[in-house]
Amino acid sequence: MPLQNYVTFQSGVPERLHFTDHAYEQVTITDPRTGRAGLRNRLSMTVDEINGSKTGAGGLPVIASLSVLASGLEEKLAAYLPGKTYLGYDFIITKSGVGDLTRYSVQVIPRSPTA
Amino acid sequence: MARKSRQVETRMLSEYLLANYGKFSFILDVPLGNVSEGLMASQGYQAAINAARPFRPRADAVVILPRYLLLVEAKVWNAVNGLAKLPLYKSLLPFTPELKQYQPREVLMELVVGSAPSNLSIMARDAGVTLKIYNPPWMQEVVDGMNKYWTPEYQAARQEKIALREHFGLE
Repeated sequence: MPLQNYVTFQSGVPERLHFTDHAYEQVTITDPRTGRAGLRNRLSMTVDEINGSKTGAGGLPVIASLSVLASGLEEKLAAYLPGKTYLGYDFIITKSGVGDLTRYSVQVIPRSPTA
Repeated sequence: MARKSRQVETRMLSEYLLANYGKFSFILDVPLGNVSEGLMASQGYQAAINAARPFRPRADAVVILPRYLLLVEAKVWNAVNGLAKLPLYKSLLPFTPELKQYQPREVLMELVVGSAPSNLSIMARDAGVTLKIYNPPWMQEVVDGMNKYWTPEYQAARQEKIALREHFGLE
């Protein structure tokens, strides 16, 4: 569900997303266990549709961002980045587990030409 | 601790599915098998699914074809493990609540590998598994690396690289 303008996942709750753009950016992340900061690549996906709706609270258009640091999820989406192939698909992402055991199940659904 | 492995199978699978089954819906990282009906009755469907997730095996992918469910495993290393899993995972599909809406469909099995030694082909044929080779240029680099992985020269260079990464705190 959208929190401010970021998409977040609750464990076990599937979110159906459509992406319109993406970018890689370098961010500084502090490891909560070691306290050490390090540079990480983050994939940021622009979302224009959540669970089939192009409008959010107040009837405003959805303009949200999905921030992907988890390599397992990034690898699943990476094949769709060249040529913005993701424009032709919806992605139902379901998070499960917590911490190092977090996993993401991703269902890829072709969009109809009129969608 | 420096990272000592490369996550390549997810990329391999994702690219392969897009190239070969891009017109169909498919699910990556699919939990398989039944979920306690008692738990569903007492906790509700979603809570029971969540509680059961750590204890259920996961298939790399299921492609939803018009008449079939295609069960897919992708392996760069330990291809025999992937091959052995497929018939066992197939037995769980009819009991998987997340796939109930797509039943009844017959089940096909595919193992996606970077290269296929002849013995793997023999075993796959006997197990009723279709073997698919997916070998883009980046994959060839991985397979070549795999072939020389256990040579003394490669191991020495690898240990030196890991030590340097740890020394400079890069991971």
